[in-house]
Amino acid sequence: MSERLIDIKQAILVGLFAASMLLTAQVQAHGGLALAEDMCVLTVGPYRMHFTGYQPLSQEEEFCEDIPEVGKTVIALDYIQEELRPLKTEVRIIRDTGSEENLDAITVFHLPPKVYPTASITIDHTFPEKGKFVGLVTVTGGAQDYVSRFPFSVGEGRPTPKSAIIAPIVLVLAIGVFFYMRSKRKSDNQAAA
Amino acid sequence: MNIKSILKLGVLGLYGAAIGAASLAVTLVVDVAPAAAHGERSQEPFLRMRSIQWYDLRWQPKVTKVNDIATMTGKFHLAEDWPRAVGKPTRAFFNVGSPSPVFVRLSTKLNGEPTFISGPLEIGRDYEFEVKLKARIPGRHHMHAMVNIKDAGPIAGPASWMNISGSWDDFTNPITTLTGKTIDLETFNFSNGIFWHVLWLSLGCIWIGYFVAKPMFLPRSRVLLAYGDELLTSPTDRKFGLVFAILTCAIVWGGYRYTESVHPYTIPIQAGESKVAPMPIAPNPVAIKVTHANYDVPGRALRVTMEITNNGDTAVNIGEFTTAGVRFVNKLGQQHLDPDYPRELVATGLTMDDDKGIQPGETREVNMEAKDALWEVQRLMALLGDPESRFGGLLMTWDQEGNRYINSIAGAVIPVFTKL
Repeated sequence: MSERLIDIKQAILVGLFAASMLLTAQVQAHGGLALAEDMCVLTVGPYRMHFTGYQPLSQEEEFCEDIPEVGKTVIALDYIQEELRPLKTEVRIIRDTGSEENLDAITVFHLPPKVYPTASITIDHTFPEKGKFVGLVTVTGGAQDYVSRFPFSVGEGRPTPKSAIIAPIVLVLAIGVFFYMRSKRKSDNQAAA
Repeated sequence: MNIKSILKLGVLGLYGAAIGAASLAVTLVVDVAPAAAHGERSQEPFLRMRSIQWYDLRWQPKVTKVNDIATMTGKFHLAEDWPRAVGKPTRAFFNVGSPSPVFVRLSTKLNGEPTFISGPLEIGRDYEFEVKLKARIPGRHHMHAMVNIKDAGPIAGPASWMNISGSWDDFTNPITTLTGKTIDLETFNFSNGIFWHVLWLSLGCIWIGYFVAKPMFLPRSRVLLAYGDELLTSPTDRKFGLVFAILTCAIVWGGYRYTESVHPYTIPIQAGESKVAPMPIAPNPVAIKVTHANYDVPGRALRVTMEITNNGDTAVNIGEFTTAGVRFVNKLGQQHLDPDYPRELVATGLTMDDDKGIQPGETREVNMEAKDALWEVQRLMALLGDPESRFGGLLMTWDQEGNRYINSIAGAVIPVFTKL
């Protein structure tokens, strides 16, 4: 019976070790845009906006960060904080050329600075081809101006979910730890005998 | 089971407890985020929009000191379009949603009647409430009006932030008993409460501990299935059970007799049913029939087409559409808006295709748009994923003399991408 209990104990340890791998912090690879608490959030200085991307002609799922397909794209930016309502917001999408000296030349979409009293901005644009872009959201009219910059790609397909990458690694590690502990216990028993 | 086995089990149990504590500590260190309000936005939209429809809510004052009195007042309508999936309000209890007892509730009145037990509420009718609260724990608290309904659960109304300053140590809650003695309910018989909790908890632990020290659940279950319970209970077990049964009965009886002798005059906890009549039906010359509704998904706008008939003597204009505590107002509605209403629940994006008043005797098709990010921020349009995608809310109109008329409207919603 005690051997079984030890097996159970090992299984619990392995499970806990595997579960702890899931408690990793989100990596912020898209500038001010990131998934946080199951919500796609654009951070502009001290302010936060809810980012929702739609491609209803080709995608049923909403997207955050990279735009999966070329074509008609609708993005909604919803103010999370009330303080944003009286401020002006400007939205610009530029091609990622590495240089932003001549913004107008590389701009593919532009919403001039405007107050949005309904706290929601709709970006409606058609991306005709694949590529790398940068979104620039500027908030003005407050004590200070803030700019959020987020690079994104268009037409690269949906990114592989983080869980699909992490899960096999966790599984392999868990199996490895299990067999290691099992073999160690066997060798200990043999040594004791 | 020998001593060695018991020791092994004990060590294993301690080992498990240590792993549990370590996991909890890791979770707390790695994955802690501050809690915001009560998660009311996660309550299904059909519950918030088509069951209890709140209006005229006030929280006064919003800033208090410990021991100050505050009131929460308002009205609610029970929607005619009550969802089929939600239990009917045959037994409902008016409540307050707060993060722990930060206020002490002194009284609740429904339509002017003291209401401290559950009772039926009538669908399609209105009720007025008044809750008197006494500030207890300092802090900034999100205070909801709420109705608990049997088979439906708590239905939270809109909330406002209320601030309490001062020190909790200064809080007192004195009342005078039947015998004329004044006691402080905050501290009265505190040690007595602790004693009884510790006593029953200890007895429970001893009872569980006695049987847990034996072979655990799976071996016991297998023996039970294979050989019956004879093998599992020894004569000592039976004596132990008998002693515990007698001890429990003796403590209950003794405790009851002791309480009777110390407090001979008591009032039992009140049961029964409250029977509060709804507010009288106010004359309403406005009749509304919703003919079509859609939701512009990226535009965050609910668009409703409805036929409005004015059977009154003066023209009426739409000023407000309120749903789930969110108030969509136009210029007329803003004139009647309580400036103290929580700003985060007010949206100014209410527009009509024709702002002219609906004349007496006229029936007009009106296209209304309620546009704001609050549809998403408050997670109200999650209803588009429901098998019954219907909206609901109160439409408020005003006549030339400033009289307000309220109509509960509802209808099916179709999601659209307008510009596509």
